[in-house]
Amino acid sequence: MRVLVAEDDYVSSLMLTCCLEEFGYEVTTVDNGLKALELIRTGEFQLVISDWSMPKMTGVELCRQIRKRPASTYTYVILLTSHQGTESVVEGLEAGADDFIVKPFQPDELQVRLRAGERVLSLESRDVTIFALAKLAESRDPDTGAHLDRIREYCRVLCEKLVEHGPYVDQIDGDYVRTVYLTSPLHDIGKVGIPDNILLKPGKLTDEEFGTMKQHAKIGSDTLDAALKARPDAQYLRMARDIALSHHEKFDGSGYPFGLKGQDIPLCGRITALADVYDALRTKRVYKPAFSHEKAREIIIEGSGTHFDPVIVDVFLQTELKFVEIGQGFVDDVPQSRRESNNNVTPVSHSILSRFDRTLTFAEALVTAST
Amino acid sequence: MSHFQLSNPADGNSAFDFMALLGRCMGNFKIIERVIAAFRDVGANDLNQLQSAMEIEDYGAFVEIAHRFKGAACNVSAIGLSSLLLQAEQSGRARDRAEVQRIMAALHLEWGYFKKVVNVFAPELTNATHGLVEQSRSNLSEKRHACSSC
Repeated sequence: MRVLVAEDDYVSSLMLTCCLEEFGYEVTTVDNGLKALELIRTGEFQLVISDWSMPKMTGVELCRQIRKRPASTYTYVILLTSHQGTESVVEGLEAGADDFIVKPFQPDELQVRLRAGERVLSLESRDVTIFALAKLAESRDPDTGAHLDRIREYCRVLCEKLVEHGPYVDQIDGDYVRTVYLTSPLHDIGKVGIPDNILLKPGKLTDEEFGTMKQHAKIGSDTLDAALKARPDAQYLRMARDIALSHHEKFDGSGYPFGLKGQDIPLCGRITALADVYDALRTKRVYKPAFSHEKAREIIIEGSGTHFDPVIVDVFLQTELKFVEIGQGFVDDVPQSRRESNNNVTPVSHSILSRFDRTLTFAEALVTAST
Repeated sequence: MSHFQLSNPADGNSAFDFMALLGRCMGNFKIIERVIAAFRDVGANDLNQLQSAMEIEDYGAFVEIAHRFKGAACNVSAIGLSSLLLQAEQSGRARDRAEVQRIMAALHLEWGYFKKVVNVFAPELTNATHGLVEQSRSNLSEKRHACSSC
């Protein structure tokens, strides 16, 4: 594993390097925080050991900068300090440091703390598991293709703009962006609980069928809520649940399942709603062609204040070129919709695995993924 | 004082704790040699910079150098030096010129003694055969010991 060492004292840096190489790490060293930040931005370093006092940028400021940046991977930061007081520890933790080593360091302690960091980083495999679950749910839905990849990228773009300025800057930070990116693909996980004869039905759904289809928001939310009850500290499950429940709510209160209005709809749900609709508009369905970006843009502008949060529509307009790029970067590779070739669908899978069993299985898998 | 802690005859205080350094280098003598060679080189430079900062009364630079030098001295278990450098840092912060001058004089003495002591464990060789490859401080990752056997 690669470790980045930021230390302005050459002798300390050399000793750290020797120890870390003995432990089997691949080490890169820099002598100030600014250089460290540049390297961290490349995404190649997830484990960082930084001195507290350094020229140009201190270790504490480096931590702040790392935590500020929206990132799809976590960076584990250990601060080296000669300060042993509580105030220093609090300052470091508030800045986002994960651990401390008091100088002069002891190799055994260094190794143990690095192992702890590696354990935390290994939790990132959880993220992969979650995405795999979302993909599994998606596999039952015929029209999606690279929908999940695009959705989370659209959400990321919107969040990264919202974090810069506007009324939601207090609600969004780097962690929020990362969690939306991680959990937005779970928005339709409740579709595993929808019978195949409705989910895979070609053509328009009857009112009754649409009523059943609408239940996917509640089914998904209940599934994730079950997982959340087992792990109440898992913030990502909370956000995943909120997104699953609220991504079909509309800003004017005409959405489902609860007809929530305006700011009562969780922000993550409002963000995912726009991303989801934009992607649906841009994608070919059996009942409609793929719309151009301009047409989709027009429809979204029309929905500002009724379907969508006007602030998020504004942000969408500021970032629309990125939406186009993402759309071009994640192209559906399914040549023909399964829905089109699935006229004789019978609710086989529904009969094999009841809706309850299926959602329970997902909840269990999510809890397992988070432990 | 441990058997392996060597005292400075001028004041009787411990100058160097070899066992602590050995532990910190995981018992690896080659690492000790590299570290001491680096410290000889960087320390001499830091001491000169401290002297200059004192002479022009640039206490900001004085404190910064003393702090960095102290970190290095702690790491190589140069007990006497790190203790004096802590005092230097504090006196520099207080802009206490007389105290800074007193400590600088003591630092020069301690530095000379430290070099003699560590020579027992890691003899000083000429730069041409065993020195550090001199490169910019800003490129630490490329600063490597010149001796290929290490």
